[in-house]
Amino acid sequence: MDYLLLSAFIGYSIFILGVGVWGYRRKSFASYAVAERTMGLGLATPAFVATFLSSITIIGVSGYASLYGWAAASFTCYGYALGWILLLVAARRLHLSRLTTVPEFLGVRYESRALRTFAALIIIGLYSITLVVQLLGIGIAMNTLIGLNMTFAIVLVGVVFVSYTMLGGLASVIRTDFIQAALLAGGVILAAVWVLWKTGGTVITAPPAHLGSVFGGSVENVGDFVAWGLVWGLGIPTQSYYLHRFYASRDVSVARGQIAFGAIIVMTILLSVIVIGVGAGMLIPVGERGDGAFPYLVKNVIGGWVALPILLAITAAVHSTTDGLLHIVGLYFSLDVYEPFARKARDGDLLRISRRATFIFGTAVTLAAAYVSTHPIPLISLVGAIAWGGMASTLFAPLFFGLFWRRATRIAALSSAVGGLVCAVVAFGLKRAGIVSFHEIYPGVIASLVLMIGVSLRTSRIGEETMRRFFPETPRARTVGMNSATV
Amino acid sequence: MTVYLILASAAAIAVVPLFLMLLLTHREKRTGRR
Repeated sequence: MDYLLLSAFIGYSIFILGVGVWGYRRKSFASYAVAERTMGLGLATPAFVATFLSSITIIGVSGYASLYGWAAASFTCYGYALGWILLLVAARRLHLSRLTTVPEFLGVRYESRALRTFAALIIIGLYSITLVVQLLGIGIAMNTLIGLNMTFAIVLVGVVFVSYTMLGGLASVIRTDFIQAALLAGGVILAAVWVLWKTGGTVITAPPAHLGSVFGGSVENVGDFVAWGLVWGLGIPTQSYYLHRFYASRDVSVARGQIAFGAIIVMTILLSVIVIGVGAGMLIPVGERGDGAFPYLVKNVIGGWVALPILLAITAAVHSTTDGLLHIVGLYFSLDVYEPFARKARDGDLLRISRRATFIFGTAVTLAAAYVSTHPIPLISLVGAIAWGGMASTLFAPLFFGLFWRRATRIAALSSAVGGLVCAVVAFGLKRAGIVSFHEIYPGVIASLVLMIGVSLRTSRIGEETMRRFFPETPRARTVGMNSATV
Repeated sequence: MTVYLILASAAAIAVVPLFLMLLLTHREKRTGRR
């Protein structure tokens, strides 16, 4: 057991909890749900960076790079950039809708309570799976770095992030994200500089042949490159924990700017992670390469005081993603599942229900992750991939066609969401059975797009009043439309 | 050489969202949209 690292980990956890208690003093539902719609660029950008970089990114991408070298860039960078571009394109319209959740947007745009509830339940279900995977990631890292029992580490991290998310909501989440982005960037860049120094820069100038190729691992050729670009590119802009921040932004320039500036910072950190991974591929034993490469490098090769900021960076990466996910789960349950059936719920009721839902779901995923950690389940990363493919297959077409195509209809959106999900689940099953080899996102998204366009052209249009709200023809009409929107 | 190309292209695509934001903002100002 490394007591220095353990003390630092506990000290950091107490500090982050303090920020959550600060958020609890803010009693309004608007603060909990959308940080009072006052988020400026200074908070929004680091919050986006911290949310984007999860334990899967830090541990997974460095592990991938330790095995396949710079092919990790082909696997991630370009697809991520496509995702950022689509997010940026959607930012203005979602911000101006002045709504509170992504399912609410779908419900109002398509005049369908069923679609709203369906979308919310899918998001809650898939994010719960992602949360379990993220917690398992930190369990593995804490076990390697501190020597802490994996189950105990998961429970410890769970107690902290569930507590501050439940108490302070988005107001606490974005403030803790600010601190976590700084820790994350600092730790990762420090480790990358250490690797550059230790390898004399050869990690960039002259890496071994098997680590210096554009192709490797899951990206064997140009076809795979395009395929993964689409997986990330269509998956990222359907994630509610990014889209939700557009509602919380103070104005359109903040909604867009957090993505534009955040993208540059994320890319810098991502390239640093790849440098670390390639360095690990050169510096650690063959048997240790893969998902455990970064923690192994930190613990057994870097060592000393340098391990401390890197441990905090990994912890920050986990907290900053899990808190955003859990906040969405609790809030969407309250607003999109509970509220439509409990008419005339007041803000106080919604705040109470959101906190309870956050606590219940947070406790459930922590216990599930703790349970799974004692029963090794192979292919846990495959379980995580369901969330990604399922989300894009269900929500990409209804969301983007809803934002940009007037003709998109209610029946089309419902068939698109349900059909996309069903095709993705069937394809996932076929892939597991070894019958097909492509990612389930393809049949899912293609079915979803075909249903959206085909059914829209054959069914009746959405009412004119709703259309005026989302597609105002003049600047004046837009202002009037947006003022009448719900907050 | 391959690694330099990867780094250069990654840097180039990382600034695309920033240019897109500037372009969209400029176009909206010109056409009077909010």
